Formats: sequence, C-alpha cells, structure tokens
Amino acid sequence: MSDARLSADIAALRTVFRMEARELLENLQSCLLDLERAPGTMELVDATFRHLHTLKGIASMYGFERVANIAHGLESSFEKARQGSTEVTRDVILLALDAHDCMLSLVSGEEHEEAGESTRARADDLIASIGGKFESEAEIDFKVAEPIGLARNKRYLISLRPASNALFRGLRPLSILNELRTLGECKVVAKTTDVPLLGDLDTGTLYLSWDIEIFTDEARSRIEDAFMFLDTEEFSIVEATPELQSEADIERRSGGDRRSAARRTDKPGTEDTVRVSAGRLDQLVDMVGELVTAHGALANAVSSNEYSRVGGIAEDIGRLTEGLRVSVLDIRMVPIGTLVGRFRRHVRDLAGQLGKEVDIVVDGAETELDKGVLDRIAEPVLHVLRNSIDHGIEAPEVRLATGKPRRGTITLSAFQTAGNVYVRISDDGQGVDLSSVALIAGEVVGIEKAAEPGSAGLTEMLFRPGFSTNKSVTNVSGRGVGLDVVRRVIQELRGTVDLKTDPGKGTTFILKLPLTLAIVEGLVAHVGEERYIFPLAVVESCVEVRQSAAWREHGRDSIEVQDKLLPLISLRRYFEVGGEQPSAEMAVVVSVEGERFGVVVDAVRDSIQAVIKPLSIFLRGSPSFSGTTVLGDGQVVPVLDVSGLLRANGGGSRPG
Amino acid sequence: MRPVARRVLIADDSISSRGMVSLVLRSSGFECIEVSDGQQAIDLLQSESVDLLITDHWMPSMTGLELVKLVRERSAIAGLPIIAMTTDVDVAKSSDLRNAGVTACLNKPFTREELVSAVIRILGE
Repeated sequence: MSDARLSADIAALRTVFRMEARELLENLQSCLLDLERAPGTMELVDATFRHLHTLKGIASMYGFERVANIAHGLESSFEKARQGSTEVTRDVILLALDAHDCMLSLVSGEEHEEAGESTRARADDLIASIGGKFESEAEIDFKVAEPIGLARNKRYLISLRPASNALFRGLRPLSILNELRTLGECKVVAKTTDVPLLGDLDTGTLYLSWDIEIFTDEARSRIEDAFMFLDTEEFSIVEATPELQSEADIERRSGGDRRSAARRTDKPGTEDTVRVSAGRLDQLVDMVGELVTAHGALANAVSSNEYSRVGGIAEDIGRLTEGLRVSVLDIRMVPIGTLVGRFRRHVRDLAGQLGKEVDIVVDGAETELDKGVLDRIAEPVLHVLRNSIDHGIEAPEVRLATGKPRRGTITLSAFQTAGNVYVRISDDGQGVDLSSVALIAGEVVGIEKAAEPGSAGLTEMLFRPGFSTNKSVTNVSGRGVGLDVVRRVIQELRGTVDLKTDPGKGTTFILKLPLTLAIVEGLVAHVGEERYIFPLAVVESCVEVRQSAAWREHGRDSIEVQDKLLPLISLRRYFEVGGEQPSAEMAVVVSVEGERFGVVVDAVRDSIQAVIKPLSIFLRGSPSFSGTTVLGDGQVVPVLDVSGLLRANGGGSRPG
Repeated sequence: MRPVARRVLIADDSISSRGMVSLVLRSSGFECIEVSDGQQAIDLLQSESVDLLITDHWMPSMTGLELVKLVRERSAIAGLPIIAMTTDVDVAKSSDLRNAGVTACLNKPFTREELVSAVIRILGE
C-alpha cells in the first residue's frame, strides 16, 4: 500500500471518526440530560463514564488532543462518582453539557486544526477548569491527523501507447509495467478495443495500449526512465495531486440522486452518511446477483430466438427491479428517534430561558423515515417545538393554579401508514385561543365575518405568513418566522401540516409526510410536444377549460370550481411552448401553501410513479422544477415544483 | 515469492479505533479482520485461523480481559498471541491482563511505530 493510498484511507477513516464521535457525544448528552432529571442514577453515571472513555480513546488516536483532554477531565469526575466518593452535582452536569458543546464544535471542525480560534480558546479554558490533562505514557503522535506523506506524495496519470511495430523493436511492455510497479502503487487499465478478431490477428503487431495511474514518492525523471526505449509520442505523463483526486471523489459522491429533493437544504460541512446494516446490504447483493442471472436468461432467449420465454423473464426482472427499489429505499430509512435526540437539549435550554419546565416524550421512536425527509423536517419540527414551549406550555405557577402538573409535557409520536409517516407533536399547554385568532384574523387579514371558534378556517389562519397571536414578541418564537414557514417546508416535501387545539388542554400538530422523497406519484401533463410531471400530492382535481377571449389574449383568467374562483396559470405561455393552443384545455387544480389555482395544460394522460433525479446543472436554480424523471419511453421530463411555479407567477398575494 | 500474509483479528467496539489499527497493519503488509465485540471474535476464531488477536479492553458485554480468558481456555486456540489495547494506564499496569495470558499491552494512544513494532515483535517481519 502506498502512502498516497494510505492518506486517502486515513481521510476516509477520519470521516468515520467524526461520525462516531458525534454519535458518542449525542449519547453523552442524552445521558447528561437524564442525569439532570434523575441525579444519582448509577446506570447513567456508568454510561456517561463509558461514553467519555471511548471518546477519549478515539479522540487521542485521531489527534484531537483537546477533545481527549476535556473527555479525560470529565471522565475523572464521573469516575469518582462511580466509585461513590462524590456525587454528580448539578454544577458538574452543567459543566459537562458545556463541555459537550465545545467538544462537538471541535469534532466538527474542518481541519485537524480542530475548530476556530474561539472554540480552541474555550476548550483550553474548559481543560483548565476541569483540571484534566490526559497524558498517556506515549506521546500523542499517532499522526493520523497529518496523513503521512500527503504533501510529498504524487500521483501520475500515464498513457502508454507504443506504435504497433514496437514489438519488432524489441519493446517488452510487460517489463515497463513491472518497472512502474516497483516505483509505487499502480492501477493499470489495458485498452483492448483495437484487438482484431482471431483470424485477422497478426502476432507480431502490438494492438494494446495502457492507461496507468501511479502513486509514488519518486521524482518524475525516475518514471520517465521506465520509458527510455519509447519515442516521446508513445507515452505521456501527467502529474495529478492526491488532493485533486479526493475532490473528484467528493464530487462524484455528492452527485448521487439522493440530493434530488434536498438540494436546497444541503448544508456544507455536514457529512451525508447513512448507516446500513450488513443484512440489508446482503439482500441487495443477492438481488443484483439474481438480476444478472435474469439478464443472462434474457440474452440467451433472444439469441436463440426463443421469444416465447421473454415474457416470463420480463416478469422476473420486473419482480427483481421492484425488490431492488424497495431495498434501496430501505437503506435510506432512519429511525425518527434520532431526531428527538438532537432536540432534547434545545427543549431544555429553551424552557430554561422562558422559566418553564418541559419534558419531551417520544412515542414510536423506531418509526423509520427517509433520511432526506428526516433531515429536512428537523427544522420545522424544532419550530413547532419552540412554538409549543413558548405559546403552549404555561409557566409552572399558572399550571399549578389550573390543576395541571408543574412540568409541561410535549409528546412526539410517529407512526406509519402505507405510503406516509405521521409525526404528531402535542403539548398539554393552554391551547390556542381561537377567539383572539378570530379577532386578529378580522383585523389583519380583513376577514369580515370571523368564523366560529373551532372551525378549520381559523386554525388555517395560524399558518398565514406574518400571523401571530403573541402581542409581545419573545426571542424564542414569534419573530415573524411563523408557522407559515413550517408549512412551506413540509409542503415542499409533499406533506401536509394540520393543527388541532383544545383550549386549556393543549395543541397538537400533525405532520403528514411521504415515506420517501426519491419517488413521487405524478400526473403526466402534455403541452404541445412537451410533457411535465405534476406531483400527485398537490393535485386536487382536473377540470376542462374552454377558451375565453381574456384567456386567449392575455393568458389571464379564472375559472369557477366548487363555487370558488381559481386563478389560472398557463404552462404553454409560461414555458413558451410552441404549437397550436387547443380549443379545450385542461386545468390541473393544485393547492399549495393555502393557495388553490389551476395550471392549464393541453391534456393529462397518465399517472405514474416517477423516480426523481436531481436537476441538471443547466436547470438548477429554476424555480419551477424540483427534478426530472425518465419516462417509460426513455424521454427525460421535468417534475414541476408547484409552489415555485406559483411564486414565479406572482402568486401568494392573489386572492385564493 | 512473498510469504502468505499473517492474519490479525482486531476486536474493538469503536469502528474508528479498530479501523485505524487495521489500516496501519494492512499498510505494513498484514491481513486484518475486524469484529466489534468479544463474542464475534470467539465465533470467528472457531472457523478461521488467525496469527494474532488484538483486542480492546473496554467493550460492551465482554471485556478484553474476559475474551483473553476464553481464548486461553480453548485448547485449539490457547496458544494464540494476544495484544490488549487500553486507554487506562491502570488497567495496563495491573497484573490481571498479564496473568490472564496477554502477550503484550498497548496503551492508547499509541504511535503507528509502536503498534507495528509490537506486532512484528510477535509475528516477525
């Protein structure tokens, strides 16, 4: 193994280290929060100790000295508690939580230089105050942090194309390759495309050429030596740096289609990894094996003209493809409980700031959700939690006065139906005062007759942009970032948000989400020669539209659907599609962000299950598309982002 | 002719820790197998032959010490050389590990050279 290769492997391992360290830190935090509620629980002290111990071990191994030192200092405190000589005081827990935050930033730091200056200073303060200096007998010089030789290692891309008569000249390509192998690690690819059929083969002619990638410490001249018997046009040597290679790797890895729907939320610096059980991988490998066999059978049937067998084979392939689809999606599934782990601390800190006491309880933590969906609902869920803590849960005295327990409870439950996951966040707080909603609704939005309290129309108001019942804006929620944002994000995920409130008893938010983002049920709409996919989740109905004068001339019109006027957007006009406008068109009635409108197309023909692929670089940034998909006939068609389409057409402000 | 690579079994519940040990040893020409706990190590030792066991001390369900004792009890593998890794200087210094039959102790963090030279001392170049 060459050093360059070693460096690349070490870089990969460092990613694993970060992942493991973050996981340990998350467990550590969860233990600390439990300990805060139930100090003196021995199992928790033990678990805390173990997490710290493991963390110290791996941090020191990967050159994160500050993390190792902090962990070491804390470990000593917990070790004493473990032996019963001291108690874990609240101060220790607070210090440990603080240390947790610091270690988390250290671990997440980009370089082995760890995090920024301020984080390092904070870490050094902590180390000083914890009084822990982890000094092993060995120096911490397991220098993986500075991969050995990364700087001096070189990678060369060599193209070896000897003339076809080279063998007559006495050239032995094999000895060249062997000589290169003594200089470093080589990857050799032989190009065999020029080799003729056996009958035409001339044994004295060289038909092969080679592409060689070599990792080496040797100078370029040493490599050139290997080619001393070749003419200069018969080979080329290009130097590439290991860094270049890893960038290319990163780009290749990030190009996967898992970004499809999450493209706008990808935060730099977060490693996108999913843990996959070996069992699930084995299953995949099995199915791929079967698919290869099925393909063999198909090729066989075709070459021997036994077309009657093709139907059966197609069925097999269909079954395998479906199996593969299910398994691949399975790999992306992550238990929803992992989300809550991230929030416990937020909930604790927020409640503390507001002088409230709040517990968060999880039900159905093992319910699985697509990782892409999970990552994107994190923020909306957090927002709902803030909302519950700030507006829902009352102060302890108020709760006691109304006969409720002092501590408020927020229950997060998750369950799954055929194609959807439901996430329910309920609090046992004061509920939403619908009469004041009605009042504000009348003032702010100009609804003339306030609907009766309890009607769906009023809770709907809460999701309006800029709506707030809180007269005093707190710094927790009510900063203008309202529930409208929650709803928008959830709708972008093709989900819905609902709210139920019981004054005096509490509020429940229900998020309904698709199991996965990678596949969308859609309608195929035709406009001229073009086709577009509407995500079925936003489609309410399809109605026929007859041309009116206004429609023909301005492309502006509205239609009446269920006694309501709907504005229309013409895709033909918007995308400037050529061809003749048919006299009878179809309006796809869609509903997003509380707006209903009709999108006019020529016709709607099929409904399909589309696998969404990310937008090509040319379409990226286009507000109207969320991705593309390949139809059965091989044509690539865009998937519409209906809320983007609405915004691009000046929507959001039109009367609904 | 290169000799057949010596096989090292690494038992450690931390993936980044055993991954690093394995990487360093592989880069020195050893073949490595990784497992994440003592039971897996025992199971593997029943079917595969290895030349050296490197085990972490603190592992869930079975400590390195317990693993060492189990290995020494089984006649077929009783003679297997074992290196114990630990972050605890106290554990390393205590006689428990040595009494149980550990061939060598490595304190974490150790250097690459320390790891490789410990292994070479046992298995030869």
